[in-house]
Amino acid sequence: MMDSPIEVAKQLRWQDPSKFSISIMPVGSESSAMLSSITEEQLTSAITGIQLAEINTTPVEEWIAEEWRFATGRLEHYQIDLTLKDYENFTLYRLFSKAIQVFNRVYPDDQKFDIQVKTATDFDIKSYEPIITFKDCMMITVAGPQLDNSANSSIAEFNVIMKASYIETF
Amino acid sequence: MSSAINSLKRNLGMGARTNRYKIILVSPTFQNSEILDVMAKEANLPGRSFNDVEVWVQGRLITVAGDSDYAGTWNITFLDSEEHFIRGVIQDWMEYIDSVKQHDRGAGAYMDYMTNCKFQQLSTVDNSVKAEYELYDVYPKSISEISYSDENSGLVEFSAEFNFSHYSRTR
Repeated sequence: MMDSPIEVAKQLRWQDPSKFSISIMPVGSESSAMLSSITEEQLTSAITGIQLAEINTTPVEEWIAEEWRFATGRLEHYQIDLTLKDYENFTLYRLFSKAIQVFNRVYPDDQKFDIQVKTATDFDIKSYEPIITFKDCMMITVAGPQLDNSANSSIAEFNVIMKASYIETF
Repeated sequence: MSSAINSLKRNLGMGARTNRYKIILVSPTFQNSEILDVMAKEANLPGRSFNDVEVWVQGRLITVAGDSDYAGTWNITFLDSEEHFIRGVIQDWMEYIDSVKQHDRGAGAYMDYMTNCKFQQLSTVDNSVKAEYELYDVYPKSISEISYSDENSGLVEFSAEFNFSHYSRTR
């Protein structure tokens, strides 16, 4: 006899959105190595959240022989949005700001880096497994953190937006 | 005598008394926890809970355990001397964390102003330690006001709230 959906639901290891870590890996260039000065542990501690890329296509749509014909068309680029809380006089903001300015002056191949996202599931919260790697990323935005005299008792945050050429899923 | 009453007596023993406790409150600026314990009039052992994760399946709700939550604070009510010695100890700790007057922070790292403290359940018979809990990363969150009145001849007392990250049973 098959298990009811309720029994199955008790056996599945549900995904907690807060159990994740990320690492930035340079792709063989001196410039992108700038970002690898942040360790995976530091980055995982500092990251507030990451919005993983929406995977969009531009579908091919043709009206042929009195019927619509569809095909998955061009895959659009992948955009990743990181929210980071900063430490020690905006170490991360300074690093990303410096990197994006350096990247502006080097060949695209020299500014590439990969971002790997790992997650853990319920019951296995210590074993993080890679789920996706955004390959050949470039940075497009380093949003400025807001400095505010009235915002005490909080940690400064800022966003970094990146685009990836392609993705590798595990 | 019924077996239920015998069983109750056997399991309860002398029974834990709420007035038999000891706090070991360690401040980075004052190390004599005995004085703080003697002057403590009331204390609580904080609770612990799980946040719920709701899994809905075809209209049925399955609740599973989320992450632990040590919500709340460790609260201690102190009696004080005429010199407000105990209040001074807690205020010195708070001043060490963040001094408005000096506009600086005394500690170089969070762990410099956080300490590990203990709460003990004592025996009714001989005051030996029967159960012990260690609270980690403790620091004062607030101290209460002290109310004065011509109509009241009671002792001055105030309560202090302490933040902590978690606790575990150590005995």
